[in-house]
Amino acid sequence: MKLEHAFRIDAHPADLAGLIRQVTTCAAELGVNDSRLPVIELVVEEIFINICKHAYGDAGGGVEVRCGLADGRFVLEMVDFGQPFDLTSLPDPDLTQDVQERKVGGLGVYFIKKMTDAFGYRREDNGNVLKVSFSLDPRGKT
Amino acid sequence: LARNVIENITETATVKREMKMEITTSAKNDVLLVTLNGRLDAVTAADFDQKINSLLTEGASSLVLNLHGLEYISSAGLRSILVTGKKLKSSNGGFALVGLRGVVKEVFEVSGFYSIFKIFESEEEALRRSA
Repeated sequence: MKLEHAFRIDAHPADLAGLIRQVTTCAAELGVNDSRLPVIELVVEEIFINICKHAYGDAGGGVEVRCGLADGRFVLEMVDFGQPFDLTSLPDPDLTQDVQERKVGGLGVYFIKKMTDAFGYRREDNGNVLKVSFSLDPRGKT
Repeated sequence: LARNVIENITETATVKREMKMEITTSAKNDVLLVTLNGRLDAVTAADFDQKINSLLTEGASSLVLNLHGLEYISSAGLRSILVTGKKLKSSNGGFALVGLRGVVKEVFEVSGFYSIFKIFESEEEALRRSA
């Protein structure tokens, strides 16, 4: 990945708006079609909120964010430094259950899987690195 | 990773967004029409939950949710909508949605919510079928 933008923020929901602004600005500048930005925004929120809720205890912690281009796609990496955990390993929710049976939760990770072109995990330097990529325009979506 | 890290990218006007949500309600016969504008996300979902809870406490038994002005929803927003649906179902109330578009519609489709809720094309129809 050719890295264009990297920054670090606190793992706190109050930072969500600023995070989304930074990532979508970077994406737009790298040539991502405007119509793709809401999907990128969604994936950023789902990863970030997951980190806020589960990566650290009360002490809190940071999130490292990197974005750039690779193989004609917009690539985003978000890193937390909590216990090793592979978000990509979670099972899909059951989408067929009706309103009363349907479990609350579990959709965030499913959205990440469904709305990205690639969703990968690696453990690196005490960090959990989630890497997602997006085609630059809707037609390139796989 | 390349070393040319640019720390500050100028923010452009194209991605400026209102990170807020607005809820308005109006009664139509026995049905309560709830109109959402803006964003239903991890930050604003708590406001939505609070509003819905007070409407249900006040005795609302049938809700139509108009999402035409909703630009964005995440799994946190869907969770709130599912919880609302469950509450109304367990009290034999009515619950319908109308006005889904753009990424909101896409999120409803991907999550399977499109097939578990009553979703209508027009507000008029939603209100008529929920009465």
